[in-house]
Amino acid sequence: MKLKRRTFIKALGLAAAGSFLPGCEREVHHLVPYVLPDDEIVPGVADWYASTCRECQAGCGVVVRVMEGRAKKIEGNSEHPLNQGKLCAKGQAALQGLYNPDRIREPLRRPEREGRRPFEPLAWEEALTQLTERLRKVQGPVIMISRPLSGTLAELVSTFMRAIDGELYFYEPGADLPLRAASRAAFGMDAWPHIDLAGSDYVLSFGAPFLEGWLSPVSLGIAYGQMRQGRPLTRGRFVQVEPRLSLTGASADRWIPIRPGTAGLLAMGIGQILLAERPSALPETQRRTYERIYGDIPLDRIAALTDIPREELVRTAREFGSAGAPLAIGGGAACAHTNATESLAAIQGLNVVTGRIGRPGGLRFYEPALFSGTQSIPWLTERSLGELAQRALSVVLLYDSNPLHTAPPSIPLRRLFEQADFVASFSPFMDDSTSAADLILPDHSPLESWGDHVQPTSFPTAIVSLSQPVVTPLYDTRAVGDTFLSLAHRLGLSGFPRETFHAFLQDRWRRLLSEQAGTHGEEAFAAAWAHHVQQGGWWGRPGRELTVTAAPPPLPHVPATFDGDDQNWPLYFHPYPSPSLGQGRGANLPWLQELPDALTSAMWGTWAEINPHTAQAHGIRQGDIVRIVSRYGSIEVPALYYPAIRPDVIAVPMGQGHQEYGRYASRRGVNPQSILAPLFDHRTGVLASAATRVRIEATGRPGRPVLLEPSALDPGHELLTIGKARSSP
Amino acid sequence: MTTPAPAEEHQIPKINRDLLAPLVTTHWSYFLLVGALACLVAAGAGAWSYQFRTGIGRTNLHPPVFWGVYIASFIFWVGASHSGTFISGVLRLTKAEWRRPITRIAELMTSISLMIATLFVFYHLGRVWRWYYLIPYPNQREIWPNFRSPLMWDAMAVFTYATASTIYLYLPLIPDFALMRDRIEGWRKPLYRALSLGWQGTQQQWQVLETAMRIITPLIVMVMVSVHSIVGWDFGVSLVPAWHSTIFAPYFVVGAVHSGVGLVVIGMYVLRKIYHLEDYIGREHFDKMGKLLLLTTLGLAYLYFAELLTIWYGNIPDHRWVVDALLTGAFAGPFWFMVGCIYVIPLITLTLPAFRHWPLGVMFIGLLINIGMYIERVLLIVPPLAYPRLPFNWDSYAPSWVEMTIVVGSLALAVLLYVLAVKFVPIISIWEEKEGLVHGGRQQ
Amino acid sequence: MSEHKEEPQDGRPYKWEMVIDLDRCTGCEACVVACHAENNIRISGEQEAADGRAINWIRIERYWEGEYPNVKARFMPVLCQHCGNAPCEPVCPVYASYHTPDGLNAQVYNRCIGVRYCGNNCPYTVRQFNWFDPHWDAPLAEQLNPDVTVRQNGIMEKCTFCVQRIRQGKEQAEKEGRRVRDGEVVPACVQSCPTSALLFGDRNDPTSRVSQSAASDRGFHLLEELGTHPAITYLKRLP
Ligand SMILES: Nc1nc2c(c(=O)[nH]1)N[C@H]1C(S)=C(S)[C@@H](COP(=O)(O)OP(=O)(O)OC[C@H]3O[C@@H](n4cnc5c(=O)[nH]c(N)nc54)[C@H](O)[C@@H]3O)O[C@H]1N2
Ligand code: SF4
Ligand code: SF4
Ligand code: SF4
Ligand code: SF4
Ligand code: SF4
Repeated sequence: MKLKRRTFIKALGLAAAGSFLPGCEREVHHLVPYVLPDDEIVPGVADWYASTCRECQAGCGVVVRVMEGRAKKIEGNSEHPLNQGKLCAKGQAALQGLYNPDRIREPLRRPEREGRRPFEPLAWEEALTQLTERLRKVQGPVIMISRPLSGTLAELVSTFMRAIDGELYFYEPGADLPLRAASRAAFGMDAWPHIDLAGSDYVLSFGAPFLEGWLSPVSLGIAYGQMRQGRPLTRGRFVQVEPRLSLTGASADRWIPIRPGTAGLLAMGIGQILLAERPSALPETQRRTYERIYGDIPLDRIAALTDIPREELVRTAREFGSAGAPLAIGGGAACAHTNATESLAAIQGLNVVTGRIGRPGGLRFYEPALFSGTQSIPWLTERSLGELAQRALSVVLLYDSNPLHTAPPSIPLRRLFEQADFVASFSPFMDDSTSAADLILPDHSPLESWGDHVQPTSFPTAIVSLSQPVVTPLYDTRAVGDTFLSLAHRLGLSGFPRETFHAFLQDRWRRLLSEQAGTHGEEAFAAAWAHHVQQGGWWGRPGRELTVTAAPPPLPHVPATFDGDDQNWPLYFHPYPSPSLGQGRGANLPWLQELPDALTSAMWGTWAEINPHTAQAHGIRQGDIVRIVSRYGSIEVPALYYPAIRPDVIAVPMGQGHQEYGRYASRRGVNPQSILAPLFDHRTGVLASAATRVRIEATGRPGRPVLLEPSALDPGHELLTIGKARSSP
Repeated sequence: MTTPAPAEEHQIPKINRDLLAPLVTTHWSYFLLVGALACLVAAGAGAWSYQFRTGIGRTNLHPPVFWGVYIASFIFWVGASHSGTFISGVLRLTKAEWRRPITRIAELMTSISLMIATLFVFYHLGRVWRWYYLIPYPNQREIWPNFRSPLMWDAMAVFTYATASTIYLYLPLIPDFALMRDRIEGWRKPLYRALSLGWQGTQQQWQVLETAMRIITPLIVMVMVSVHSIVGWDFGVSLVPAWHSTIFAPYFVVGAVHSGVGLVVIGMYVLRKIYHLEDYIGREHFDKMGKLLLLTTLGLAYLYFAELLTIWYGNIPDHRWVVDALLTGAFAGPFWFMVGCIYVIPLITLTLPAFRHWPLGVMFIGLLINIGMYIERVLLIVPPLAYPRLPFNWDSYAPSWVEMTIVVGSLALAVLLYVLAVKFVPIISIWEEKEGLVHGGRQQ
Repeated sequence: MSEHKEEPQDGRPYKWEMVIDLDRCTGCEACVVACHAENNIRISGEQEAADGRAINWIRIERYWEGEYPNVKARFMPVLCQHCGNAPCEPVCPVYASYHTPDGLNAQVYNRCIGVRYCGNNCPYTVRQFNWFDPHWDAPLAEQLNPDVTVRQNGIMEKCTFCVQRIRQGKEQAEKEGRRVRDGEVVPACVQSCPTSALLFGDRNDPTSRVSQSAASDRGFHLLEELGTHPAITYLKRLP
C-alpha cells in the first residue's frame, strides 16, 4: 500500500506527497531534522500546494505555502477561475483551523449518557468496531446529518448510507434554499443562478448580502470591483433595500430602509411601474400574467406597507428600467421571512420583466459541472429538523454540522440527540452538537485531506476543485472518507472496492478525465492527475449557457407573518450572520474573533445594533446592556448605536454564544437564535429568522463591548465624517 | 569676606548653632517619617519591577496615547528643578539680598528633582534594558543616536543641567562643609573633610569661589532656560495637533518656574516650622515669594491664553477638537480644576498683601499650584494625543495602579532624599547668612 | 553594509507605492487577516483588544455620514503611508524608524527601545506597540512566517509593505539581471483583496499599474496638507 515516495513525488511535481496517504500516518515531529530531512522538505524553501477552501460552500481555489512541513499561509489560487487569486478573511483564517489548539486529537467516547462524565479517548480500531456494532444491530432508522458535501465525498457517503438503508441529509443554517426554490418557480431552474454582477450597470439588491457570506463571496467581490471601476466608461450603480444597512449595503450608493418582510411587495410595485411605463420585451401572455400578479396590490398601498415613499419607489423603478443592464437580486434580509420564496420570486421576476435573463449583466444559468450528483440528496431545514426530532431514531451520524447551536431552541431539537440510541460525530471540533455524541471519530483538517468540490452555483466555467493534504496530519485523526470506507469494509458492504479515499477519489477522476478530456490509460491518467492536483482542480472551457424557455408565472404575493403582536412586541428582531463568523463556524478562529466588524468595529463578542433614537427613547446609553425579550426568551447584550437601522428594528449578529467550541468561542457572547420563534419560510421550511418580534428593556448596566473605534463608546464624540479626515475633495 | 561689625558679632555663634542644629539633633518623629517614606518608595520600586518583568503594558497606555503620566511626571520634575536655579541663580544675579536663606533650600530641590525626573525616563522606556542605545559611543551596531530627535536634545540637556546644577549646589557648600568638618564629630567628619577640599577660608580661596560663582551663575540660568525650552520642543516640534505650537518653549519655562517657586515655598514653610527658622525665613520672604508667584501666574496665564485663543480663533479642526475637549468636553473637569489651582486662586489670594504675609496661606498656594501644574502636565500630554487627526482613533487614557504607584513612590523618594539631605547639609547656607549679616541685608 | 544593494541593475531606484480605490473597497477585511497571517501579527486576545491594544497593521476605518435614513457608511483602509517625509523618522532617538532608499519607512525592531515618540508623531495613528510579549496557544505558532520576525515586548511595529516579499522579488530580479516586473511583488493585503481595491507597484516605472492609477483625477492623499508625502494614493469613492 505504501507508495515509493520519491517516485511519487517526481510524478506529482508541485503536488503534495503520497506520504500523506491515510494509513501511513507517522509520528508528528516537532523539530525538522536537517541532517536527514523528509523527502518533501527542503529546508528554507517554501513549497506551494494547491487545494480548495472548505470554509464555505463556494469552494475557492487556494494555494498553501508550506515550509519545513508546516503550513504558513493560505492564498488565493490565481489559476482558479472562481476566485482568481483572491481570498476572503475566512479562507485565510482556515490555517487556524489546522493549528487550532482545541482540535479533537483522537477518537473519543462518552462512557455513559446521563452522567456528565467527560469524554475518554479510545483507539481507532475500537472506535470503528463500536460504531460497526451499532450499525449492525440497529433497531430503527439510521440518519446522517452532514454539512453539504460535494463531489466524491458526497458520492461515497450517500452510497454508504444507501447501502445501510440509512437516510443522508444535508444541513446548513441559513441555507439559500428559498433562492433555489424561487429560481425553480420563476425560471424553472433548480439552481442558484450565476449573478453577472460584473456586467451590470444598475444593481438593485433586496437584502442580498453578496459582499459577505452569500453564495460565492470572493467571486462576487471580484465582480463587484469590476462593476464599479473595472470598465473604462461605466461605473455601475448599486441600490440596497433592507431594514438594516448590512456590510454589503454599506457599499451601496443608496439605501432604502424597507419595512421587514415586504421586499416582495416592493418588487411588485417596481414591476407594476416597469410594465406600465416601458414596452416590455415579454411575450404577450407572459406579460399579462406578470401584470396580473404584480398588479395585485395598488401602488399607494405598497408604498404604505413597505414604508417607502411613493416617489422613491417610482424613482427607483425608473432608474432600474432605464438602466442599460439592470439586475435585481434578493437574499439575506429578504430571505429571512415566512414569505421568502414568494418575495424572491417577485424579485427575480423583475429580471424577466426587463428581459435580463441569460443576458450580460443579468441572471444566467450554465450547464452544471459534472458529477454534481448531490442534487438528489435532501436538505434539512429547521422545520424538517424539528420533524426529524419527533421520530424515534436508532443511530444519528453527525458530520461537521451543529444544529444545536444554529437552530433555535424553540424547535425541540435536543430530543433528536437524547432519544436516539446512539449518536456518532465525525466533526473535527467539539461543538454544541458533537458534545452530545456518544462516540467521536474526528475528521482531519481539510488541509490534511484529499477531496474534491463541485462548483455549487451556476458559473460560466465548469469547475471541479481538488483538495490535497498539504501537511502531515498533526493528530490521530482520520479523513472522514477513510472512516466511511473502513466502516463499509467492516460491515461487508459491496460497492466499495477501494481501501483509501484517495484511491476512491482517483477512480472518479479517471472517469471525469476520460469523459471530459479524453484521458485514457493509466500513464496518461497519472500525468493528468498530477497536473490537476498541481493546478488545484479541473476546469472546462466556458460552459454552455442554458436558455430559460418556459418561465412559469411568478408566485402570488403572501404577506409575511410575525411572532408577537406589535403592541407588546414593538420591535422587529433582526439576527444576521456575522460577516466573519457566519452562523458560528468561524468563532473558534482567533483571527476572526479579533477581526473588527467593519461597521461597528466590534471584536470578540456579541452586540445589538439599535437606532440611536430608539435607544434614547428607552434610556439606553451607548454600550449599555440591553435585554431583548421575545415570547421565547430573552438575551442580554451590549447595545451599540447604529445610525443605519430602522427605528423599529434591532439587529444582533449571529456566530457567538457557543456552549462548547474550544477556548476562543465557548461561552462568549450570546446566540440570538435562542429567542427566535419557530416560524419558517412556509414553502421551503427554512427558518424565518427575522420573523420574531421583541421588546427591549434597558438594564442600566454598562456593557463592555470591545471596539476598535474607541470613540464610538464616548457619547461626547459626534459622528464624524470622512470629509474631516482628508484634505482634498 | 570682610570682618563683621562688632554689633553683629554676637549673632554668628547663634547662626552656627541654629543652622547646624538639624544636623546634630534628631527627633524620633524623623525616623517615623523616613520609615513611612521608605515604605512608599519600596512600593514604587515593587511596581516598577513588576512592570519591568511583565511589560510596559502594565501602564494604561495604548494607541493613540503613547505617552502618559511618566512623561507628565518627567516634565513636572524637570520643571520643579527650576526652583533652585531660578530662585538662587536669578536672585543671585540681581543681587537680591533676601535670597540668602532660600537658595540652599531651592538648590537642593533642583538636584533631587532632576534625579527623580531622570528616573521617569527609565520608567517610560519600552525596553529600558536597552537604555544605553541613547548613549553616543562607538558600538557594534555602528550607529550613533539620532541627534535630530528632540529626545536626544532632551537627554543631553538634562545631563548638562544635572551636571551644572550639581556643581552649582556644591560650590557654595564648600565653606559650609569646612565649617561642619570643624564642628561635627562622628562618621560624617571624614566625608566633610573630603568634600570641603581643604577649605581654609583664605582670601585667595574666597576669591576663587566668588569668581567661580560669578561664572557659573549666569551659565546655569541659561542652561535652565534652554533645558525647559528643549523639553517644550519635545512637543512643539512634533506634528501632534495642539502640541505643534511656537509657544511651548517659553510656556514650559514659565510653567516650570511657576511650579518650582511653588515647591520652594512649601519647602520654606515646612523647614521653617520644623526647625524653628523664623529668625531666618521671615514673613517678608513669603511676601516676596508670593509676589514672584504672582508674576509667574500672570505670565503663565498670558501664555496659556495666547495659546488657546489662537487655536480657538484659528479654528483648524484638528486643533479645535483638543481645545474643545479641554474647555467643554471629556477633559473639562480636570481642566477647570487646574485653571482654578494655578491661575484663579493664586491670583485672587496673592494680590492681597496681607495674604502674602501669611506663611501657611502662601504655602497652601504653593501646594495648589503644584497640584495644578501636575494636572496641567498631564493635560498637556493626554488630550492632544487622545484626539489624533483621523477621528476613528480617538480615545482616552487614565493611569493604571502601577503608574500611580510609581508616581507616588517617586514623589516619596524625592521627599525622602530631601529629608535625608537635611541631615547632611545645612538647609540654609551658613556662610551666606553671615555674609548677609555683614552686607546688612539680613533682617531680623 | 557595503554590499547592501538597493538599486536595480539599470541604476534607477524603486519607489514602492500603493493605490487604494475607495470606490472598490467593501470593508470585507480580507486584507486585515492576510496581513496578520503574513506578518506574524500577534493574537492580542479579548483583554488586550478591550484595552485598545489590538494590533492591526492595516485597519478599515469606517465613517458614518448623514442622518437616518440618508445615512452612508464610508470605508477607508488605513495602513502606514510610508511617508516620503515621515514625521515618525526624525523623532526616533535611535534610528529605529528610518527611510530605505526605495522609499519604505522601515522599522528596525532590534534598535527600538520603545520611547514611542514615533507613535505620537505619526498623524495616521498606524504605529502599534508591543505592550507585552506575544503569545500563541500551541500549536498556533506553527503557522508563523519564518521570513518575518516575531516582535517582543517593548518595541514598535507597523506595516512594512511586506518588505520580505519586496526583498525576495528584488533578489530574484537581480539574479535574472532585470528589474522587478510590475505585479511581481504583491503585499499580502493587496494579493487577497477580492475587489482589487488595493494596488501595489513601482512608481518610478511610469507604465506600472500603480503609476497609472495614481494619476486618476479621483486621487488624493490622506492628510495631504501635512506635507508628509504619503506613498499611498487614495482614489475617492463616488458619487
Ligand atoms: N553563500 C554562503 N553560503 C553559505 C555560507 C556563507 O557564509 N555564504 N555559510 C555556510 C554555513 S557556515 C552554514 S552553517 C550554512 C547555514 O545554512 P542554513 O542551515 O541553511 O542556515 P539559514 O540560512 O540560516 O537557514 C535556516 C532555516 O531555518 C529556519 N528557521 C529558523 N529558526 C527555525 C526554527 O526554530 N525551527 C525551524 N524548523 N526552522 C527555523 C529559517 O527560516 C531558515 O529557513 O550555510 C553555509 N552556506
Ligand atoms: S468565499 Fe471565502 S470562505 Fe468561501 S470558499 Fe472562498 S475563500 Fe473560502
Ligand atoms: S504613516 Fe506614520 S508610521 Fe508610516 S511613515 Fe508616515 S508617519 Fe511614519
Ligand atoms: S518607539 Fe522605537 S521606533 Fe519609536 S521612537 Fe521610540 S525607539 Fe524609535
Ligand atoms: S503591505 Fe503588507 S504589512 Fe502592509 S498592511 Fe499590507 S499586508 Fe500588512
Ligand atoms: S480586502 Fe480590499 S475590499 Fe476588503 S477591506 Fe481590504 S481593501 Fe477593502
